Amino acid sequence: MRESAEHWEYDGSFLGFLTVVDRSFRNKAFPTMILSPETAVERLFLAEWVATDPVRGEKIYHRLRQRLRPENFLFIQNGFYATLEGKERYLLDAIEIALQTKDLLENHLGHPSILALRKSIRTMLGENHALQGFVRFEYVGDVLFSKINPKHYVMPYLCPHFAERYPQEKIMIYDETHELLGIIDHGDIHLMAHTSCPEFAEASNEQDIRQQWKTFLRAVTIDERANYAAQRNHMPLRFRGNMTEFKA
Amino acid sequence: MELERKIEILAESAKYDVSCSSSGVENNTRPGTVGSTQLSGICHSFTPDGRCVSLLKLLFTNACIFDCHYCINRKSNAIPRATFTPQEVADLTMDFYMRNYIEGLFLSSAIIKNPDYTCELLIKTLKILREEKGFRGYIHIKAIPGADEKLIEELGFLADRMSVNVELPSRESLKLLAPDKDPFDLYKPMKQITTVKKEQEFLPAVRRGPSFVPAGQSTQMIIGASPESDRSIVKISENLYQKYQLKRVYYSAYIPVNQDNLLPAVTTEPPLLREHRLYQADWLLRYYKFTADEILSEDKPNFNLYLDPKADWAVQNYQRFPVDVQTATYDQLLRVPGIGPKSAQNIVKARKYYRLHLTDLKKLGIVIKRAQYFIACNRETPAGLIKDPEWIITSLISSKQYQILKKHNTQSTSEQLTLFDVERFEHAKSR
Repeated sequence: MRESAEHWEYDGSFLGFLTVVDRSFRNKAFPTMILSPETAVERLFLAEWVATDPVRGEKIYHRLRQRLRPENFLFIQNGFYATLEGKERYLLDAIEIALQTKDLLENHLGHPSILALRKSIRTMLGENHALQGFVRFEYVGDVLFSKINPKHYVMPYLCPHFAERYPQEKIMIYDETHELLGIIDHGDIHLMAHTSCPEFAEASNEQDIRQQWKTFLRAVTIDERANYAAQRNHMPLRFRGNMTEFKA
Repeated sequence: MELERKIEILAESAKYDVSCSSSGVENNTRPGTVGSTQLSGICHSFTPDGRCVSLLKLLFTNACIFDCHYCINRKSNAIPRATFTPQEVADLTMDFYMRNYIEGLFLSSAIIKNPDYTCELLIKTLKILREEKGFRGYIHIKAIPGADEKLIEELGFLADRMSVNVELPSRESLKLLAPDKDPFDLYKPMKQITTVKKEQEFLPAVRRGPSFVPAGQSTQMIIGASPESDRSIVKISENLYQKYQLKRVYYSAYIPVNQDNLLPAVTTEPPLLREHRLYQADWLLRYYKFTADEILSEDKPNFNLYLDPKADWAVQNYQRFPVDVQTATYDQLLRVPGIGPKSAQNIVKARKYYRLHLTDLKKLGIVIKRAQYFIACNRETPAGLIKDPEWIITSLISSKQYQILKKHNTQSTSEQLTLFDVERFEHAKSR
């Protein structure tokens, strides 16, 4: 595809991005740079505003679902939620390749855009995997509550895991970084954006169990093998603020 | 006794069991109302010794009737003893599981009264968890050697992974250090698990309900309490992987817990570096398609503690290199130091539609510093390298690393390999 010297800006939503996809494929030219509200402030140049068109966006969504392999569609979706500067431009390349091939996008690793996207998808899913273990719940009334501080937008990936694990519970996970609240009620998942941390009337009262957990961890430690560097590598300090065992 | 005190005693007694993985269950067909498993397993915490905590690792009791010399729970030791009730273990597991502290339960036990009785207590615990609590999460259980076959089978249907510790790498050491244990008894449950699992495979594919030990079995060996060579240990592991389809063999550097004239002195440092090399060799067996004979030979039965086994193999077989990354097969790529399974796959994927260049390799996850001596790309090799084996060895080990390795080295000078001139090496590194 030809590259035009244009700079575009959109609202940062997935539908907005699909509008960008629609427009660039119709123009038969990709813009040099695509800005979102997060990246636009740092730029000097004025960009052309691409207004989100929900109707066209949804149409593109369904077209891509039809045309792309499910794995490749997922790759595009994951790539959109990954933290990567200029990801929109890379994603356009990825869509172009995916439309021309029957093979997996992963097998096009030789293309710099695919390589960059895959790397950041892995980082995001890696953090998600770490959090699946490091999230700590406590019962507040009959709700299992947890607070997290992830770098990446992991909530949509984290919630299904806990929905499967605790199908009969009410769960709330609050993401402080993205001000996002995940609510899982008996397996049904809802996400609420731009919310503050929920306040509970009653405080949790779980001193005994916390103490048992700390006692257990102390007891399984082999002092002769002390290796704090390994501990830090596997469990970076940034996760520890919300973990029961590191709270006083 | 208070529950917290019991946890303290019985977790402390269980800590020398290495296995803590929660991986290997592919399709969880177990009925139940709470819990799930993940193929890759999940680590929930890490203790200050850098080991992962995935499962609630407990001994059901540490009141043992046996007197194995290497074991902290031997009956002649004066340590506090405690015993859980099945209900206590089940409740504690659920309390921790609901708060996402753990991925499941790892339950082992000392032999109380006799093996059958011990086994029945474990079965009772797992039944409460599976049937009353509807728990679908991960359970790793120790098979009790010497227990009745029927009991072992029942246990196998309740658990996800089962393990029998072979404890020591040879029959002679076992006889000497674990006089109450019958070596035959140790391998019997292992064999039984393998046979029952094989039989299950021939049943119709679609089955509901629990399957038999879906995550397979593992075992553990103590390193450094007995005089076996590294080669014989690697050979045993290879045999276990092939013969019994074990998922993992764990190695545990012996930490002197008991004063005993048959064992290393209490002041001896645990052979952590040797354990590390054994794990590296173990990975070579499982993921890099090496055989035990390639890793160590009869005239070199011990590891070179300064160089990892893969680099060691590569230097000794230098005539096979350089390998051209554009054309080499996946198996050939795996043999290059600095290239692992992931980066080898990346290479294979990346070169499918595009021509590689030496400068791309770093982005694909290859450790150039190590790989540069062994690779070429479209017949072009990295420029300006000296291809003398001794030089290569020197540059594969950084001087900082060398100092650390020297400190951890537990081999005596007579055991050490004369693969490279240590004196010259010291000189090169001190500059």
